[in-house]
Amino acid sequence: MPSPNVDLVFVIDTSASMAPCFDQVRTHLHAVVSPMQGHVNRVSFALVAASASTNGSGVLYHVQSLAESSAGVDLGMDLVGLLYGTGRHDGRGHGPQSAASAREQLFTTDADRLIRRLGMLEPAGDEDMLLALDIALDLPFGPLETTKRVVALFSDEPFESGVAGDGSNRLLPELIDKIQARRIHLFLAVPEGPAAHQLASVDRAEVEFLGDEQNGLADVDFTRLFAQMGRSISSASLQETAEPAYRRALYEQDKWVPSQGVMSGR
Amino acid sequence: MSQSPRHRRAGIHCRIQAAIAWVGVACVGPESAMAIPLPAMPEASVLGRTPESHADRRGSPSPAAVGADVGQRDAIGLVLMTAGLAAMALAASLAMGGGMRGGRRDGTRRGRPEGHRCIREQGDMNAEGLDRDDRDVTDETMPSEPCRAISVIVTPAPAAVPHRPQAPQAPQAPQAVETPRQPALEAIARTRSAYSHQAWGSFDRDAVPKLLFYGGNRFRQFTVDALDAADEWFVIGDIHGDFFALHTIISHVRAACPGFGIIFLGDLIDRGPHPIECLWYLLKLADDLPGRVLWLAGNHDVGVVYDEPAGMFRSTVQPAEFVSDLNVVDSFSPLRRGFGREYIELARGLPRAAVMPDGLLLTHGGFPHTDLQGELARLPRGNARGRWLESDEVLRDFTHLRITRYPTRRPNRLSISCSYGYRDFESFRRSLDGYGIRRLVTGHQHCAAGYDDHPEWAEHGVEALTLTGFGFADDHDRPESYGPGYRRELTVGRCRPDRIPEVVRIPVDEAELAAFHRVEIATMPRFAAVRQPAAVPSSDDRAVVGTA
Repeated sequence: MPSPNVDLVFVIDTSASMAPCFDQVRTHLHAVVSPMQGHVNRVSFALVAASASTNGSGVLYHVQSLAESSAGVDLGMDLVGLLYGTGRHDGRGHGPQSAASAREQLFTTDADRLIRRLGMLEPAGDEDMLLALDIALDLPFGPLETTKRVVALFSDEPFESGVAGDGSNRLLPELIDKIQARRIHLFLAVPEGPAAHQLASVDRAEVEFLGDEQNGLADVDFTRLFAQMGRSISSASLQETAEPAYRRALYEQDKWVPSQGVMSGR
Repeated sequence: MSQSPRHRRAGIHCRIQAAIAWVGVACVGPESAMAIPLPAMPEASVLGRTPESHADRRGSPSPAAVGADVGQRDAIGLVLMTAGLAAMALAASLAMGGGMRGGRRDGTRRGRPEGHRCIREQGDMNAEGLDRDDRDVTDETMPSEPCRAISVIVTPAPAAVPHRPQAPQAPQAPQAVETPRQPALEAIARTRSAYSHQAWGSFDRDAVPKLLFYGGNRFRQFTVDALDAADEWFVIGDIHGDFFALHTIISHVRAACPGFGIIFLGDLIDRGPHPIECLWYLLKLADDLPGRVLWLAGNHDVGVVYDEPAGMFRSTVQPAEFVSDLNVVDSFSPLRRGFGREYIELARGLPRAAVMPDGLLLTHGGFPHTDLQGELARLPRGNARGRWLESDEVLRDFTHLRITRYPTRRPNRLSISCSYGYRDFESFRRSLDGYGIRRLVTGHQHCAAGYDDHPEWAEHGVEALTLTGFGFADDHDRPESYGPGYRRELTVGRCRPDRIPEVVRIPVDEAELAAFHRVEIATMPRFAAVRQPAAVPSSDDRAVVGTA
């Protein structure tokens, strides 16, 4: 039997305080890759870097990915547009890309590309990480019979402290069902909170609860964290059973429209 | 039937302890299956399980035992197989004080056997300065308290292995006599000679150990005869084809406690390079020590299946090197196929779990998860619960679930295996209250240190221990994992009454390992295969995201 592939999605809070985390991931990425070498055929990386801020009329989301950004235009719509289509309400947008096309743009086996993209991230605004996690769950992962699906989420704020407060938690049961249906191996490095504890009960989830005082995860030992991740991914089994239907866009991000708004800092 | 007081006492305790000694499925075929009494029905108990009938059953079930089987199987619809009897025998034995230095019926502690003193004295030479008194302070009368008292003692390797398995006489042993006279090498050579292709091919039942190819159910009864003879019980975690580890652990235990008994937590095959040698070694050990070896099923053990239409072996788990070996196409393919099918039959009959009289649950993976426990709670005590325990989905959880440090986990039945936390175990204990389960020992999870005493569980008053038997590094496809990457110490659990087993750490003899590596590992064709590396970052950042 051929060695499995790994789809590894980093979900990173890009709120204003998180700049140190970008450097941590860039610097220590080798620590997560090394334990997998010899055990897997190919590691594909993806990125969901999300922040949010409120403005007068609602919430402005900025979700970045590996897809090449068009420099300030259609903020956040590269990834969301690829997954769900854009502008469906004003009739000027386009539909979602095919899974193959979206995958080509959102995943890469070139770690350099991920590292470069992390270097381009500009922290700003606040966070809504459960929504970011839901977007990551909708990515076009490889088939279960050949691919280990991994999502690693990093944030220095509890899930409940984002722009939606604990409002996002109302969809946690559905989110958890979706994680389990998609057979996602979930890694979290987040402060403690109700949502984090519920996510810790997900089968195959591994949670690093952070202390109260976090400075963009600057003090977290990423070498150890990533080494554990790599070993865990290496030893995890392929999930060869069929994938059931699941609901996409739990937070209705498929109804977003582009905005020229500017993220406000904290 | 006239019984001595000792035997009457055993019979009484057998019936009592049978209530807390059960095993899902054991190493016997259906033809020798026995009905095991469950808590709510003591009258359906092991009346045939007197020591006399037990002795009669060496080699073949006694008429009394068979009668109990036939009479009860239909009545209660429960067929728990004969390693259940082994566990019952163990329970009876322990109740008599014949097992792991348990308390006597009158509440007194019996003296420690010589073997125990031996290992204890060696433990006093503990390089880490762990005080013997520290190990003994645990209040055995209050085991429900948070327990962080998993003793770790370091025992030096025996100066000489006093006894090794007798070499089975095979028609030809092409590799046996050429290997250097090192303990592990000698043992593996002798073991290998026992299952040489010639032996397989001849099926000469006088020439090979009367285990795999003896026919009928003889080879499957080795755990049934009597789990009542051991002075102390030792628990070995996953071995995964690591012959060096298995041999080292057994040699050490044998030297320290000649009257030892072994409970192996499963996963004998896959990953490591010597699964068949390990299989043969364990079965030979079981044949040499009737009643003192219990092999519980692991997910790798029971994962092997034969795909008739395809004419190939498959496995439900990964990695599955054992299946790959069985599927090699060459002139020996028919023999491999026959061997593989025998193996599947053997593994299918392995017990899934055992409960010691003091409430120690031993199992490879876990126990029925919370979604199944709900059904258990609705069942009346007695037969229905027995049928529930025997159902496929319940048996699967014993082998496939994985222990975690978290309080609770949601079972994901879409996944190949689920995980659980300490609250889930507490829930299981309460659901199965009549069985008196109190603490848990598992394998399955591979611990870098050879064991995990689960401090998160202990902080919440739940005792658990996970043991790992093999010594090679995670990266089992690389020869250096069996040399420089090999663990410095191997681990084995030693049972103690009313407590979680203590962990005995056995230093690896570096010289012996080097010799074994030089002869058995470094030259193996399996390691010559070039594996495609994982994605490696390109160009300038290679130093940052470098390769292993």
